[in-house]
Amino acid sequence: MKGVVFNLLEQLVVRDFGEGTWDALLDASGLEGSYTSLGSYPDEDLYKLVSAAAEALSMPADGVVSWFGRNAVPLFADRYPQLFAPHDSTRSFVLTLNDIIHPEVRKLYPGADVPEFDFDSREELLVMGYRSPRKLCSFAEGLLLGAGDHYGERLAIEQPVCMKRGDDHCVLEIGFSR
Amino acid sequence: MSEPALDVVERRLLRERRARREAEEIAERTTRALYDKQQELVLLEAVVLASNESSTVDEALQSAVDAVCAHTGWPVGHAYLRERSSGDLVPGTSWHIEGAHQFDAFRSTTERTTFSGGVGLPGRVLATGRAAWITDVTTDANFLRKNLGVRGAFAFPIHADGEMNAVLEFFSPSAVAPDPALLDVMAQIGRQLGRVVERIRAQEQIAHQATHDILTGLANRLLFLDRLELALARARRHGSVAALLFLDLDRFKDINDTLGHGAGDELLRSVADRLQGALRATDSVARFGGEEFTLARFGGDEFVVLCEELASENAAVRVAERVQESLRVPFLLEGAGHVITASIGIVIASGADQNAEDLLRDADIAMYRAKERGQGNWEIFDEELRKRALERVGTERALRQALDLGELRLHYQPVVSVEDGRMRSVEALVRWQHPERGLVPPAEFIPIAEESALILQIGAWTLREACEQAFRWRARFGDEAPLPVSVNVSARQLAQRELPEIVRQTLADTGLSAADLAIELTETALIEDSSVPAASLRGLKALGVKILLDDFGTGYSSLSHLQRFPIDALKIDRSFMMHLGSGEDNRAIVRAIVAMASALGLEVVAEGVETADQAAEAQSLGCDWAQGYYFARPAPPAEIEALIAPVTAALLGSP
Repeated sequence: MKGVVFNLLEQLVVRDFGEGTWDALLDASGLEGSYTSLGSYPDEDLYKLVSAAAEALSMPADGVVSWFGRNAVPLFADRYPQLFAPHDSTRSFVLTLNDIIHPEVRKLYPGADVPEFDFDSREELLVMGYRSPRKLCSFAEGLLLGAGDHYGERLAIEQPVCMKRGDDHCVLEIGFSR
Repeated sequence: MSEPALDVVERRLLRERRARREAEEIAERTTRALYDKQQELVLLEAVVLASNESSTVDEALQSAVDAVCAHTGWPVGHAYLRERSSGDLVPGTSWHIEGAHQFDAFRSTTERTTFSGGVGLPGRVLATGRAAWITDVTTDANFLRKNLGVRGAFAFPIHADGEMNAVLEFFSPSAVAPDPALLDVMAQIGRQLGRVVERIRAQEQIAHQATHDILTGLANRLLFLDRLELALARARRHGSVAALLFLDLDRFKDINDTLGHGAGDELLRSVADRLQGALRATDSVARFGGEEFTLARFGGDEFVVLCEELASENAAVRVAERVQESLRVPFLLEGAGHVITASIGIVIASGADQNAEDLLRDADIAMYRAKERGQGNWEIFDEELRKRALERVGTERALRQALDLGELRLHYQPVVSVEDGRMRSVEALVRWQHPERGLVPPAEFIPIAEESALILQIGAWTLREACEQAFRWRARFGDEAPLPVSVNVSARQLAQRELPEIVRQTLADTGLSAADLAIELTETALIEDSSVPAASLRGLKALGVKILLDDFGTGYSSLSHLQRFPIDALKIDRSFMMHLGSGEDNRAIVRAIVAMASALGLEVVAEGVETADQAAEAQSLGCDWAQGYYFARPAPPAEIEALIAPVTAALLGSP
């Protein structure tokens, strides 16, 4: 996991819950907490922080991850406006994940292990397939919601297939409305 | 040492955090820039390598389109080509497409779409000469190929030799914000490709020049021979009919001589155009079997046509006739219409072991045969022609030797007074004393000599020999000598500017007086559309040599010749004598010729007098002189001397 992910999480936790909360999460996870954006760190660190946060905030872990994704989007939009500007809808933005956004991430953070999505349209719905040993479908869900916020759309996301329920991949069915 | 206050610690922490964040951003930017530079280098290297290995412009464009797509990750790339004639951009054949059928509609639409300056994405590049980027074509007012699955787009030009040559365009299925850095790299690629296009064009031009005729743009001999060899191999393999047409313009030299080489070149270009038109505009019947033609110019006024996949041997004749028909409308040169015809030799590739050079030679032989039959004819090569051509080549070689070995002889035929049959002068006639064939009549070798420069050598030899003989006769017989001696001069000799000088030198060398020499020429020699024969005649006349017009009354007789040229005597063609008995018409013509000659102060010689009746007729029609078997046959000098000797001997009282 790239250090930038930890930095973003820290930024959001400090913003919404105060400096002390981040220190507390680090303590609870038994982590030292020196993350630099370009460095690579064990995925395990993130999972530990997430479960510590879930406990501290009395939230399900998936909820924490989703909150993280959704709130990270404005930070991305701030840092990389050129990725958002060409689009006027969540759908067209999301469709550039494989071809534009993730390649850009790889250029910025050599060695970043970003997932590959597959896309399909079913009537009004965008059907997005996700496969990753990290099983961070909630993070994807949060990012989708965040993108929806960015383009002023309300998203309805269903997950009929999920690795956490024993499936071999996840499927997110996304409906858009304004 | 006291503990620092908490707010101080917090400020330090904040400073540290900010410093870390800045350091990270610098590192990120540097990493990103490094990545971009590396990718750019990879791309440029790929383009340079691939384009330098390309031997055609299309190949170079294809490799560039592929490389740019690989670099950008964009799935669609294409090259529009600038059409020289219209200046518009027409779809090219270099495509890069990823995805099964996603972009089929886009491609087929593009393949049907031409852009002029300012229109659409390629037209914008054409108009400005600079790269263009469209973030999202669906919201762009000036983008034509909408709703075909592409959104982000950019395009850049390739300039070669100072003008735009192509526009490369790339498409993404998503909207993409402009990337100035990418366009900078594309500009570099554009420059690199421009240099490659210039190099390839130069190479292609050199290759084209090596295989094409510069004047007409047609294939040249080199390329034609290559095609011919291939065609022969194909014809052998498939048993199909191929033919070769060898075409030579009739009287092209006249156009060059009278109108100048500029007009000659213009004519050749027009002929090339007409021939191409004739070979393209095949009617549906002739098309049967899918005829194919290759047209070439071999230099001068020689054109050749290779006909392949002919339905039959007759089809080759139809092609020849179509070609001749295409020349029928007069050519406009220097503001006037000129009728140009072509003689065509045809040879059919028999499928046997024929090589290209043999076929060309045979077609050439057939062409000469066609020319002999008059202007605007065609002739098919066959065995008979081959035999005759071989004989002709053999005769020419033997004749050349004959000159060296002294096998040529001069016989002299007396020209006599019709009144009393007394010899007045003689005509020198060349004979060939062949070691095996005996005495060869001039009709069997003079025409062959006339086709080459051999006639000039024979003419010079005849002149010298006759002058030497005449000098001896004058010395020996004084006033009784049968002089002047007349020597035949061919059209080719007369077309030599130096003829008067040759005659003057010969007279000087032999000591003969100019008054003892007469030159006989035919009217055909005078009608050459050139000022040289007339100048030669005037030069000869100035020397004091007499001029005789031979074979008068046939062919191109024209009264204007008698006025324009300094002529002393006419020799009425033998055909009039032969047919005098058969009607009043000939008699009337001869009477008119004699009356006209007398009015112009010209002497008249009746040629071909073979009977006493004809001699009487000639006399009654007013001819002063006659020549023919009735009076005397051509004979060696000794026999001529025998005709004079008794009289002279009697006068001088010697034995």
